[in-house]
Amino acid sequence: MRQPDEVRFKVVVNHEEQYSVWWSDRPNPPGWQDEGTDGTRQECLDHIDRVWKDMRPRSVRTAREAIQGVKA
Amino acid sequence: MTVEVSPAAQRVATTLAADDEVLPGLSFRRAEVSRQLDVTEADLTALAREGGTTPAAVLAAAVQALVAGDRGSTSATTVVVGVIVVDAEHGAALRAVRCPVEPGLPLRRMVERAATALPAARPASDGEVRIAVVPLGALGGGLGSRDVTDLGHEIVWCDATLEITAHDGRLVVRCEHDEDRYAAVSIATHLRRLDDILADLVAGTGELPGAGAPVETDAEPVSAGASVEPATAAERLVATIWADILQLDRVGADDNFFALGGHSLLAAKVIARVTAERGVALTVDQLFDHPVLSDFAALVDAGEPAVTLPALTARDGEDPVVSFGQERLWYLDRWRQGSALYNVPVLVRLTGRVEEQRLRAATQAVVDAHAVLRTRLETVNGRPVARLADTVEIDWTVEDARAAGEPAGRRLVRAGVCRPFDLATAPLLRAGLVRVADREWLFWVSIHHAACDGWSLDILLAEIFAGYPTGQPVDRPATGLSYADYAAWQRSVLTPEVIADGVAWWRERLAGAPTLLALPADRRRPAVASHAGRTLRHRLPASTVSALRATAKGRSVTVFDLLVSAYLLLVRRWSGRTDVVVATPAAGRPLPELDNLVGFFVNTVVLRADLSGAPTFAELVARVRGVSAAAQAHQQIPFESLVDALDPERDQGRAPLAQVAFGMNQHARGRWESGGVVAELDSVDTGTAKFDLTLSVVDTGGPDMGVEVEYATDLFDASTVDRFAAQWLVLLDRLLADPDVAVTSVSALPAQEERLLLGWAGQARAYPADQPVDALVARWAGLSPGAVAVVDGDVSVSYGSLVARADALAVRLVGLGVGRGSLVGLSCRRSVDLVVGMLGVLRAGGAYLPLDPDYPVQRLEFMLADTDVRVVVGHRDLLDQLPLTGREAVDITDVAPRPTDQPALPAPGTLGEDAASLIYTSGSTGTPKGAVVPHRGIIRLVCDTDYVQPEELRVVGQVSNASFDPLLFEVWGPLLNGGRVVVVPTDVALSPPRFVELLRREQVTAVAIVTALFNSTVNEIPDAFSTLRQVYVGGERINLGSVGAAVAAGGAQINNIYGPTEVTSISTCNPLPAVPASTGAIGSAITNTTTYVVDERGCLVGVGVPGELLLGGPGVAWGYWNRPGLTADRFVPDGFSDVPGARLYRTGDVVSWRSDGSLEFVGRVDHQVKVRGFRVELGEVESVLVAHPAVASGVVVAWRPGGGPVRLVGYVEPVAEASVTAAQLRDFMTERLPEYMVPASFVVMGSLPLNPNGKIDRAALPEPDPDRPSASGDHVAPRDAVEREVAAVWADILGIERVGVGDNFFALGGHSLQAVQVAFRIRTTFGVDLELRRILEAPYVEDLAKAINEALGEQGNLLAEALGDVESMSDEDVRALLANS
Repeated sequence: MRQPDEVRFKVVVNHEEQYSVWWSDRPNPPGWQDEGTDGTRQECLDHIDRVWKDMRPRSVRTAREAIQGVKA
Repeated sequence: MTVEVSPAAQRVATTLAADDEVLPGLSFRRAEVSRQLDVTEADLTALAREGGTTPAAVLAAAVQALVAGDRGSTSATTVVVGVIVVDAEHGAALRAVRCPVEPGLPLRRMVERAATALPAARPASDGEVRIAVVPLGALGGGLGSRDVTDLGHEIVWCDATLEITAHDGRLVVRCEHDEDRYAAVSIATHLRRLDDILADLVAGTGELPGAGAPVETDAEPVSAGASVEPATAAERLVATIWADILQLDRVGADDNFFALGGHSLLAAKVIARVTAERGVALTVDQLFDHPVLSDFAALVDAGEPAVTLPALTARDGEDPVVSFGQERLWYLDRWRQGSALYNVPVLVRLTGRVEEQRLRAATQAVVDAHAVLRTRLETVNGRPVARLADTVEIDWTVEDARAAGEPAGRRLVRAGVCRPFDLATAPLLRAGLVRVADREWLFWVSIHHAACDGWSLDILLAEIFAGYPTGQPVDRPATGLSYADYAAWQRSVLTPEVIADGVAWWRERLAGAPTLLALPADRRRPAVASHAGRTLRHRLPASTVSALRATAKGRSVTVFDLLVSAYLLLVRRWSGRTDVVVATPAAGRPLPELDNLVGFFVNTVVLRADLSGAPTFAELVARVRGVSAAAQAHQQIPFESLVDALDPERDQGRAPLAQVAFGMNQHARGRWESGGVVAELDSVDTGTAKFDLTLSVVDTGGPDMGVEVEYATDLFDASTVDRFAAQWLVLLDRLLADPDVAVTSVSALPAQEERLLLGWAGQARAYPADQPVDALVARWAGLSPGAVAVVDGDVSVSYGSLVARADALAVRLVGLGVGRGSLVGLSCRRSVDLVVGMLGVLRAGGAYLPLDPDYPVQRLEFMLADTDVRVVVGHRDLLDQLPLTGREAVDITDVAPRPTDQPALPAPGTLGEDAASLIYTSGSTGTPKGAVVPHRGIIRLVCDTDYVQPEELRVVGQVSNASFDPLLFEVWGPLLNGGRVVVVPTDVALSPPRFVELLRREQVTAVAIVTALFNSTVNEIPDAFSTLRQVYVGGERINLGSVGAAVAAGGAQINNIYGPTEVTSISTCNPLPAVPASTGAIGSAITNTTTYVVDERGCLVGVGVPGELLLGGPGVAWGYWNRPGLTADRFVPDGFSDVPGARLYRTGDVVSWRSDGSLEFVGRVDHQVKVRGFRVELGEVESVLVAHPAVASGVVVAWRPGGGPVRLVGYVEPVAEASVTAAQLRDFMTERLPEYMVPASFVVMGSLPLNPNGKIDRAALPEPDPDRPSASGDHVAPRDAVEREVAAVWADILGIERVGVGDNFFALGGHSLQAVQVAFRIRTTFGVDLELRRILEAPYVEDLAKAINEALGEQGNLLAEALGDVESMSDEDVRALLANS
């Protein structure tokens, strides 16, 4: 059972595709987008555990892919 | 031109309020505080030019505004400050600049006045000036502060001198002040205010606080709507009662009680009147629920018949009876004799021609009229007895302070009201007049609380000023009743059964309430409170007051409910508790005929509020209102009975049941005109505090209200309480602005404080963020290939060959498939090879994973499996011990240096954001987690930073083990700055003489070491590090003794550093030029690191309030390897940064801001335990434990043996050649901590277990012996005659049979009044007059016996012997002995 006044969170993601959680009732800090999931903090973290597969920052990942692309 | 001085401007302000009362005069204790101002030299010059004056005049005006603002004067005042002026004729001279100011005066106008006054000012005469300004350039270049002090003998008499100098266009103000008068923190606050004033001046805004702003009048019509005439008999009755009580001409049937200004105290009066006149049982709650007159009248009609209270009758000729309240005050007086704590002081300012004798006669008439003022309380057989005197002459003094001035006059008033009363001597009232100007007088009255309360003061003052014109007694309603009649009535109503029922109700209400509510304090709570206090005064502005009244009216709540709710919410934020208990006074006049009596009727009740969740303010107020209405209904139970039943331990360090209080003092009026004299209520205090913090709102019916904050100076500095009050005012305004939003989203931080906190967060600076670490090392190899890079014993490697070897390794790794983004294990002993391995992996584009050979194999196996590294580089023998099946193992000694004629290795293309290292943190519990540290984090750690300079990194000792984050500093610090790494083998580091020999031989400039190693080295060789430039100590709380020894030895700068691996090692640094006051002083953020302290909602907390430390900036790691959920939990969006997408790391460490902008480490979020209902921060206990001079290091752990109650255990390692016993530790801690925080047992160990990184390993501590709890639980029979006698006295008074020497008086059911009887019996038995507090401090038989023996001294031994003899005699022998004597 969910506590009625348990604090609600949402899953947010930044330009580096790094995930985190933020309070549902507050505007996101600059550079963070809603991922589309909300719930208790733990529910959000569990969701992130499932969906955040590549933990490299996006800038590192794409630069590397670009280099590999040149090599190939 | 002369400056016009209005007649009223005769008050003079010359200085800032002192933190400590000291006699004026020369003090040799001077201290200084500096501040760089926001306002620049150019701003100041421009401002002066604009005003057609000099910078000196601008500064003088700013300082005058500071002094005027600090005095909070509400009327015109002349401010005097001294200014050093240099001219050809006199040289440098101190001139007294006098300017009249009035509240609300624009700051720019003050500059005009100062500009006029300064050139005309004469040199100051002795003592005329108490604050002196040394303006910019006054003394020319080159003259230092010493010359200022030598300037004139008068300047050394100043409380403070403010010297302003310019450096590179920035202004610095240096304040040298009298240390006996001011705490450094308050001076820092003053300088901040000065800065704000100057900023306002530059902006052309700002004015003096006070009444200058046009007062927004609430203009509430006193006789309200009254549109509907009361119709029924009940309506007419209620209308009459309301009109009486609310002092209105008429009241209509549709009027709302609260809209007419009703509040809970008045509601109680209404209920009492209705009950008395109609005999119906109604409660205050019912009036709250039916505030409209016609609805309430309907209830009166339908009401149940009341249980009739016995009638209050005059008891002529009988001895006065002592009320419960008087008994309580008598008891408290026994406890703490000769204190002004229960003096009720009153100050009234009189303007006009005051006839001293008439005022005296009017005051005497009041004493003649009210018997309670002529009643004394004697102690007979350990009980209070009231005795009435028919006539007593009042104690009346008249003093003239016209020459000495108003402040001196106020000091006389203070002295008058502070004089303690002897309860056994009537009258319990004293009064006096102090003349401060020809037509200005201060009339003070001091009455012991046993004879009056706040309500009584209204009656007394009204009667005094009614009697003043004639000097004759005034006509009073002839009820024939006296306070003693009430006391007798109260005793008949409050039977033991009624009290027991009431106590049972309160017990239920307070079940499980926290025993102590601790607001963050500036000082530790002493074991025995001194009750010394101060009172700060503020105003609730008219705008807030009208919002308050409108909200109260609109929502049928009282102004009190709104105010106390905002107070509770702020207490909740400062204390971090959601279950808050606050004390508040209850009027205690249950019958209407008591309304005109003087005496002590008020009782203390406690409100326990649930502040959990995120209610709106309206919801919160509704919760609080329910609690306060219920408390009102049970207010008659004497507070002392509650204390005895619910909090009998009598911890003398805190007030029982509640440590914070809130009150609303409603005065019928604050101004009288009488016999040609205008009398205005002023404020005065007795320098005492009954609670830790009491916020009182004073309502005299005007458009604004007074706010008085009384606080215990044992605990708080003025600046802290000032912040609390400022936050309360801001919070109240914001809550009232929108009562329907969640309170959690309403900040209490004034904009100014928030700006301050964000300013303290940290500074950014350009650094090579986009280059990989290895490229920066290679750059040095290109610049100076022959320079030494690494030294390990006899081996020394140049930059050229270091890079050549690393490149060869990189080629080999690339051949094995390693590239950008690959992870490579590194298993090397600390040596040149380790550095080659680190650099080689980076040269190949990979990130290295240190596999420390000192770690348990199991842990290394976990790390290999968790990361699944394919390639591991290291020393052959170490590699052989690792489970490397399926992985490539590279022997680092087997890689030949890459010939220098080979073409340069192609850059792998790594960037600042790429991973450089994966470091597993030595988490004390749970699964280890690996933090992925990027290149930019390392570069920001050692390049272009503020805590260390490149030349200080010339030679850095490498002491840390390979898996610990200090390695980042030790290796990359020198290598990115052209310096050298000197490997310090572990056996050398652990041998102070060898360690020192190496440091000196290699001319090491800096080391970063764990606290334990620093302590053990310095304790053996105090000047071990004196040849270094910088020593960084971190990992644990610093040991003040060791730091002191190192600082005294001189040479190196000692720094306390703090920082988690997750933010790439060091995050804050505190250079320690002297021993800091606290072991947790971790300083402030290093460059390119940000620090925020937040509450559980992620909102900034104010100065002094503990919160979790969040860290940001480029040092923030990627996160935890393969742990997305955990990463998302700990690495959170940065809501304070402008950088899009920035993240903060939640450290789990609790810290607080000090007022100087540095951080104080408090403890771990998860190291909080509850001991017997008290919340204890283990870190706080530890900080005291390690402060013991014989303790080298220590740790405190909470054990819960067998699932029983939590017990604290202290583990200590003594300093070399010292020994310490558990008893010594307990004594030391008992002196410094409340009893519940003192560990129950101590374990002294030769050395504390350390984990491989050198930090104390809590998990490896031995369990304390459960069979030997240190608190005595067993019965131990009295062992000597004195103990036997004490035990017998207890047994008799407590009505029990067996008392042991280890028994606690209160645990046996004793209560405070019985303790008085014990004192009485001890006096009669031993002839020893023990103060009651001695008994309360020593509630054990053995301690009390010890105290008696001490008091008896030599004589005691004889007496004890004699008692022993008597005991061994037969009854007949004793009789014979007595007959002969």
